[in-house]
Amino acid sequence: MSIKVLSPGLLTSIQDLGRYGYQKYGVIVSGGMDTYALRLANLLVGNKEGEATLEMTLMGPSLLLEADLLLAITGGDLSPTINGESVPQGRPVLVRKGSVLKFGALKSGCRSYLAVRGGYDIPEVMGSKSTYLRAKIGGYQGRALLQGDILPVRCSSPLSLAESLEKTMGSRSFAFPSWYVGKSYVSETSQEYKVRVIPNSQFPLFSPDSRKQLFQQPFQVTTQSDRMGYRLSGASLQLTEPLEMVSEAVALGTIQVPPDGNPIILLADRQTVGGYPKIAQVAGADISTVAQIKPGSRIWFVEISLAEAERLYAAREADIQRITITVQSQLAGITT
Amino acid sequence: MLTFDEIKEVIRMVEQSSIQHFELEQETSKIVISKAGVHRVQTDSRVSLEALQAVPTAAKGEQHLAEEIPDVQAEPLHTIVSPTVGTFYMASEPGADSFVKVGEEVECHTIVCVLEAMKLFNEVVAGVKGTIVERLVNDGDFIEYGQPLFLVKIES
Repeated sequence: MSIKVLSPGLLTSIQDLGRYGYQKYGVIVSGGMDTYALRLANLLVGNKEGEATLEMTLMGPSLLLEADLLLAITGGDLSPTINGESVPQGRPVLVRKGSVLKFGALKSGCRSYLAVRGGYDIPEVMGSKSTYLRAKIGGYQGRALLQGDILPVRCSSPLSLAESLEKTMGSRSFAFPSWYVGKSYVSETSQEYKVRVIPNSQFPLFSPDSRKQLFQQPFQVTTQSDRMGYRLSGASLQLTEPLEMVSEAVALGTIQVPPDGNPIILLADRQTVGGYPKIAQVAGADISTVAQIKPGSRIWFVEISLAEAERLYAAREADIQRITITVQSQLAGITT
Repeated sequence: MLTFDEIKEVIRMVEQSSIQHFELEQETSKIVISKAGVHRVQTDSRVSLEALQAVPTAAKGEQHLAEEIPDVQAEPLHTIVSPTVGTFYMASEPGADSFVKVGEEVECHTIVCVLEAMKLFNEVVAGVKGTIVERLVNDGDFIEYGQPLFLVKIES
């Protein structure tokens, strides 16, 4: 079982939930940018939620499916089609061997995830299949996909749902059930997004004006944004007095401010330590939202407390638990 | 006075039997369940509309169910009932166009709404070819299993 890459898209790479436990040696975490969408995609095909998926950015690939496959697409809407026919997101889709899955124009979001039943059969490096692009390790030969690549897919026991889809399929090239899971993010037509943040340890060291500007003006995501971090432009954030910091640990969603005053949100491929003062921290529950914001869009930061951020995080995990239960029963053919 | 669960049990028994008309009087309560002579076309074997309406009627005590049912109409109406429990949504996501509007024509496979339960969205299809004449529930309402959602004028 395998998938052949006919065209690779802008930046398509294998990502799972990341490479943890090695930051002390300077190895970054990487992994999916929108881990909520990534987990949903896996759950929809009955994989473990942390299985490796294909992360597709802004412009997706064309893929030839060289076997009958059960797959799921989540996250940003890259107008996926199978043999030219539009295919829905957020649900398991059984596809016939020989079909071409093609991603087209970006309709909403920024990144889309493709999970296949069984997962991609590639070796783990330091406990993860994620591609660490800069160090060229993990994923598919340590790099983004290229034309002609052949992605092996691991065989897995057939699901009851796949068997019933098979029966209804007839001569069509794909079939899907009448249920789906909601989007992982709020699609905004205005190109403005609200992102909730907690003031960070060095927040009080910023000037009173900068502290206000952080929440009273939007910041634009610049084109110098990638999987490592989003460089923002807007108000120039300044410290009250110069600060020489010893580099310290940074986390997913840390907003650091270099001397030029333009904040950077650190994301999946963030470095392990940073020496710039940190003004705020994006709430864990909003990281997936940030991951779906494309360059040119604007972010309004909203201040919340640590307790509120924890509550939002717990609520999101509870949502995933609920989805897991309902999806698993649907896949097993247990209808409510 | 019968309890709600007892009423439900009675309805279930009548529903599964071949009895066409059933009346029960007890102290101040009266239940009338009638399966015959009703204008609404029920195309599936799920809990019938009459059975559902019998519950509030019985709770009120006196009222005869047959009075609540409008006169037989010339055009047959199909009731789209909920196949599951969940929250009713007219559109696939907030701000999107609703799946169908009153007055719109639908085919058998036209999606008329989604019902969300435990974060899973279930699509509901019209089941018949015709025209939507009425929406019986509102966006965001919590819907019970078998609850009527839309009335459709079946194309003759």
